[in-house]
Amino acid sequence: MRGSKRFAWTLATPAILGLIAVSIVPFIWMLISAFQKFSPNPKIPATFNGLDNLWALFEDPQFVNSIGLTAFIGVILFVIQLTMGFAIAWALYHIRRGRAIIVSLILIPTAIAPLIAGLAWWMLFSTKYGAVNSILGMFGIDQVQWIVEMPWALVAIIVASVWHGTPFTAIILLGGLTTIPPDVLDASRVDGASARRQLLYVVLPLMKPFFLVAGLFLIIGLVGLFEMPQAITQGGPGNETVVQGMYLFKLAFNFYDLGRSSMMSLLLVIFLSIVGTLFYRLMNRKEA
Amino acid sequence: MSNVLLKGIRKSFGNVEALKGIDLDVPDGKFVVFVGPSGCGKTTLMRIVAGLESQSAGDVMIDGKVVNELSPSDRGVAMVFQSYALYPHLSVRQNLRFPLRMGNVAAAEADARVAAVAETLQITPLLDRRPSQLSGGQKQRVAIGRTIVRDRKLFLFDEPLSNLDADLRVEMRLEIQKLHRRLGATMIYVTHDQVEAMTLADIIVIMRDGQIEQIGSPIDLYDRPATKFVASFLGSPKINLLSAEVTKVESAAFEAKMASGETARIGLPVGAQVGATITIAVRPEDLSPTEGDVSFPMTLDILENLGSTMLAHGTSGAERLTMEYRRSGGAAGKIGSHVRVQSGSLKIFGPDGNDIVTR
Amino acid sequence: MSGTATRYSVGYRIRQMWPWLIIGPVLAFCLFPVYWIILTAFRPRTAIFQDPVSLLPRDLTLDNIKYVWFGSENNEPVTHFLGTSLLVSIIASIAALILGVSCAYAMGRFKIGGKFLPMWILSFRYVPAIALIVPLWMIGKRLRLLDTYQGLILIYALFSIPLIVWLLLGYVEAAPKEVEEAAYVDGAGHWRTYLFVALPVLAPGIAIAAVFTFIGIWNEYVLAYQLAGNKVTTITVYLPRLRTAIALLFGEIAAASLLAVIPGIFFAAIMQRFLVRGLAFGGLK
Repeated sequence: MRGSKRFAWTLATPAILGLIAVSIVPFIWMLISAFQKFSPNPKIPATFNGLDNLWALFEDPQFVNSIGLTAFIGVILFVIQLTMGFAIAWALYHIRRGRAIIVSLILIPTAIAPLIAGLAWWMLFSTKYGAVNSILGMFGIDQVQWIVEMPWALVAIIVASVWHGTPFTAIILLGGLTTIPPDVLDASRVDGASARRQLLYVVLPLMKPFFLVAGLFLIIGLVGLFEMPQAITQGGPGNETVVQGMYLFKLAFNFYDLGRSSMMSLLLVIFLSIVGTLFYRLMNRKEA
Repeated sequence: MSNVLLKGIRKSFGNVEALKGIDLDVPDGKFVVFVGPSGCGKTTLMRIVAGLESQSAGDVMIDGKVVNELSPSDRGVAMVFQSYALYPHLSVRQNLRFPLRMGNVAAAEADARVAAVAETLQITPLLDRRPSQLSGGQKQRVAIGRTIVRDRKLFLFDEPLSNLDADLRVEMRLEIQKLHRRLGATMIYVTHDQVEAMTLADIIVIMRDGQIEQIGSPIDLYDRPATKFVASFLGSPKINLLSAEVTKVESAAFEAKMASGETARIGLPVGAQVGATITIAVRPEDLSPTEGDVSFPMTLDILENLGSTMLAHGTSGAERLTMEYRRSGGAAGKIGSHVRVQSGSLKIFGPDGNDIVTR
Repeated sequence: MSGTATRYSVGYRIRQMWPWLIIGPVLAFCLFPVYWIILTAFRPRTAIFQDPVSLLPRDLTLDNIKYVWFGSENNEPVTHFLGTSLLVSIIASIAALILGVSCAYAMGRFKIGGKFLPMWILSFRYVPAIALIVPLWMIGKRLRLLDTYQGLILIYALFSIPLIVWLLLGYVEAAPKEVEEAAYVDGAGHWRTYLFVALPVLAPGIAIAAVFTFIGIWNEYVLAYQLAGNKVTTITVYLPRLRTAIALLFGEIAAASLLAVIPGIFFAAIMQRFLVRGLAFGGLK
């Protein structure tokens, strides 16, 4: 068709310009700010200070702690969400009648805004008036000081995150399972594979790309982790549950250290590009 | 040694009853074909034998042992699937080795067996390829190879040839026959193709609507179909079905008024009342332009030349009638207003579709 | 139909039930917090603040809903914030759809930008808003767009484009090209072919994208919290403020939360069928 390319570019250009405005422009802004020193007084212009912001971050115990804490939560969420998510997906796969309705119900947590989910768990974990302690009480367990005491505050955040994120993981993996031809699974049973070996030698190898996708979403969610701890513990007790996302906020908007927070954002973007590249490499590898 | 005994097998999917009480004895070493139109329950029945599906009622016995609760991996069966069901993440070699690995066969022996099977099926050059790099026929060979690599006594084939083109289908059909002769194992084979059923089976099980319509050897079923359904299911071109009303019943013959208006006298004893509506079934190849004691009127529409034989398509009354005859007989010119047939080759079915000839 | 039902052993029957042994507890875990929110929303203060609190529904009341809807001495009426969320979500979704659908169509149908352009747009999924919040805030401040409707709508509209492109690209590629070519041959021209032939074909996909976009914006917190929040306050930004009041307002928070999650849950139920396949395949692209 004549003039097709021109027409196509006309259609796409507004969106592309818009995306440049919210990606490349802030990125360049961030890149510049990351190497500048900002005064708390907005009248005084920022000055170039080289890599000072980077060194300052590395020497900042709160930054290091927030990264460590996020990584720790990440490892736990990875293990719990991928195993639980797969268990749910595998179970759902074997349920024929009522699957649609169960999927709808299981997806409810994911459809709830993370902040509201956090508030709900904040109430559930309330020491005196929360349902969690109430249920534990039935089993004769004393009231636990969720939210106000470590490590319980961290447990509360992890439980809430698992609640919010696992259904999503499960549905990605269930989608993956539906791509495996049922005959292949039947064949492995007839070929003598026990249920355990069928999982190990047939199902899990074929699910590799879907685990990658689920893992990728988990990492992205981890970098963006903010609402859940904000709603449940607000970083407390003390600064014990300040995850990386919350510290970035603090740095930028409580301490008004725009230079250091820009540097931190830059590190996040670099980390995400490495993860993204790795993901593409793994996905597009021909064998395995 | 492996025989399969099915007792009162029923299977419901929700409100739909797929199998309505199947009793069947599959003798040791026989090639048994389940055949029937799609939706008749033949595949479900095979999956129940394999243990891939659990029956709602009845028992499955293999070698005299009830196996209702045994998982497929413990039933000692091998199965070829319609879609071949090769493991997409494994090479051909690994596909063939898979059952051996599951059976904990030692590596050296497994290698030897895979090599032997690959040799038999002429797939040795393909061993290091992935299933996605194989043609349909090659996949089929690998799928069969995977079933014979372990010493199984019971083989199940679920429409294994339906995804192949015509030439390959004939070739693989012969391969499967050879395989059966060589292994001497019991084989159950599901198909909707009556030609496969006729050529492969020792015993054909014709199924319809979740029930067994008739069991017997191919020749039995072809020559003595118990029902109108069986008669019209087997044979190509299809058997001619002519409706008629019984007008006179004698001890060894009866007369019937055909839809064409003519009355035919047929030399067969039947169990029918005068006035009953019956169906006279006649195979196209039993009809002849000139010979036979019964004659039907036929208006010729069209002649098809199939090379060695001719097909004459026409009508008798308002009903379709096809005659197959040898071209070399020179009969083409002699087709008149009537075609003839021997009484003995006719099949007579009552109003309920059952054979009413009292032999 | 009678017949001897197969006599399976108890152990076998239990083994056949294994999926439910997993799904049962999972369902309880997934749904209990939802139940708790609903329960708390309809409970009188006296029932909420019992120690230990009861898990059973008794003495239900509409008071909390009334308080949050009409406002009380403890809180402003929630309708204002729901309205803000609704306004922002709808306008931003429409704007995002206009931009995103056009872009997806242009890329899917005419293959502009080669492999790079789709890769670039889809890579936005790897960057959560929080990674860019600092420079966005600085730019927003410079442009005086902070805490304005137009600023928030603009940022939401632009941030939603990648999701729409991601959801629709597959639809465009799968839609039959021939219909559009026929229209073009009939003299429809590019624009009319796009508007009157291609868009109706893509309508189901666009509907799905619209729902996801709307929910994504409705549920968003980080951008709404930092780039707005005083003059322009969405429901998610308002909700945690209820917590900082002098009294514990569990009932009010639960009631307001309930109102705020209704659209999400409603659409999740509708979209269930699409989700399973869509999420898995979308991720593979």
